[in-house]
Amino acid sequence: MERYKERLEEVKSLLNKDQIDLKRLREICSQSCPNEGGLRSVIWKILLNYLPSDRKQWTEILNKRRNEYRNFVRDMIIRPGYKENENCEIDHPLNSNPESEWSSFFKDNEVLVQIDKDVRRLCPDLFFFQKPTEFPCEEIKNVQDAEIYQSLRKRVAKTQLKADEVSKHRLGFTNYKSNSKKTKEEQDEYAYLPDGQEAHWEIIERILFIYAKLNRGCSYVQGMNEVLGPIYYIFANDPDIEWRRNAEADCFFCFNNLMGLEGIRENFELVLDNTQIGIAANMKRLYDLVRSNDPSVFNILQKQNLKPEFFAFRWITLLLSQEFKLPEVISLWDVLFADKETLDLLIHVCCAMILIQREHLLKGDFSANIKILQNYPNSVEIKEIVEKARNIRRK
Amino acid sequence: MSGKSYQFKIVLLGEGCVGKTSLMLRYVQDKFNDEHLSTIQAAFIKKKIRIGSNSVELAIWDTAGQEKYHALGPIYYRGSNGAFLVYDITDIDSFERIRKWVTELKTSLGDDCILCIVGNKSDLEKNRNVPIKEAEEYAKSVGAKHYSTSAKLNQGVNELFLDISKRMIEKFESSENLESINHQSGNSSNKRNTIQVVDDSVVQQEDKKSGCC
Repeated sequence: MERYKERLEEVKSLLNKDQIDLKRLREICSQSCPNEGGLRSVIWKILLNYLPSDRKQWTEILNKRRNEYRNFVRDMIIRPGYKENENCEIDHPLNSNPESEWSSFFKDNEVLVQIDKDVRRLCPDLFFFQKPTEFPCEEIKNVQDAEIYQSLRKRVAKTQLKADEVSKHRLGFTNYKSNSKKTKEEQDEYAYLPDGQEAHWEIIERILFIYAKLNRGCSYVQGMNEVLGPIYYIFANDPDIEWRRNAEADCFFCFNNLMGLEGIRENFELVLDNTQIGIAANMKRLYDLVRSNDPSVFNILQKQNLKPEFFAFRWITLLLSQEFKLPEVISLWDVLFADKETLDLLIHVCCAMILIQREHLLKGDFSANIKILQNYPNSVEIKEIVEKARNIRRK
Repeated sequence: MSGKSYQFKIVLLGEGCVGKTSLMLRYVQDKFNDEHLSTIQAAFIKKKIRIGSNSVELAIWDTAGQEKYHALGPIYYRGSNGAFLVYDITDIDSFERIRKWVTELKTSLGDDCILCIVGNKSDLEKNRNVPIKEAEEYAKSVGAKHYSTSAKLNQGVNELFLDISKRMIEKFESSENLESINHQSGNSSNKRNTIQVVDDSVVQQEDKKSGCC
């Protein structure tokens, strides 16, 4: 307790200096961030290279970035004054030119529908993401303007309706039913909030959609929502109203930076499979680590043909966000973000998780072992795992 | 007469959000949850059932739906004795996707794998977008059987797993017979590595020892 207080005081004084000692901040946070007064929310922004160590630049940078994000939203989603039929003469839905705005519009809609399916399923046991945000998108907030602005909500609904129509024609059905696709029950389950309000998951959806549009190569891959979720959760619960108001924009850039850390985004790109940097290479690194640290555990995994794809695929791509409860994920991420080589530490943490289960693994058969690794026992403390990971790394 | 023990592997394939995980959870735990996470990597569950005097152990693999993860497909369906190709009856695209899976499975597993085409979410019948007749005809044309299920209302789920188990047993027994005939004529076929027939009494002993399940 005393030590926690000491750390808290030190972090506070570090953050109050004009020039933040980043090295020292990383050192302290490698134990876990103190979270009083929204400290974690600020510290993550620093550790994820969104806020520079020179505090005098913060205001300017934040203004610039938040403006930038506002423009992304306007250009890619809201599109004020955009009328669907206006550009028909030059460009139209059947335009085969790949440069056609319509062609990318349809591709975007596919991505959007995928994101929509996933974000609605984000952290279902945590009611937070279903709740309305205090800060919905400005343009969307004004209900009377709703007609002239586009929104993802409208676009998802329209895309699903269009898919209905098309499919019916394709199958030779003529009696088009005008009722919307979702049934009453389904509407209740996944109900949208009334116009002018937005749930937190809709913010997550908007961030991912913009991310996908700006990162054509990687676009959106299932699971990115799980990586974004905890960051947004921290930012949107900041006790300071100004930080909260800008949680969406700040979160976009921090997520973008996290994905940009060495090797993180590449885990989502299966194209990079079997190269030096993709997920396959990282799973191999993990098994190599297990082999050199505990040959008998490695042998049993080999013998049972228990491939890393069966469990470590999710561990690594999602930075373990699905293996622990949210508070534990958050304290684990303190440690991962504080490290200069996040991915490297992550792989060591994964190795530690396997080795901690060595007694069970050596005894168990294939199904018992896969059960442990796919449903990691929550009796193990993050602190123990991290400590073990560091020991392995030191060797 | 003491029965036999069989071990079979089943894989669930299909577009995201069609209800693969729900089908598995309904069958194995008799639970249904409207809101659950999207599956990112395949999950494995084992289930033991009795059919008549035989005991059957099912190793069920529930896979992830998204296109980008399909490259991982073969790791999970390799050596499968049965496959559920699941679509959502309100989503025509999810049905179209089934055709690709059928081709892929036929190419890599040949006729070793029993194919079941499963139209899930039958509780949403009024929003049906995939005509049942077309689905059934398609299933027939590729030598598969068509099933309708609702994981939500627990309709057709037990029947589905029971039926595939029976069909896998039949298939196994007939190929055993074939093998012994071939063997007699000196024409032994390829060794099958995924199915083991063990004497029931031996299995029970092993169970006691490991104390599993």
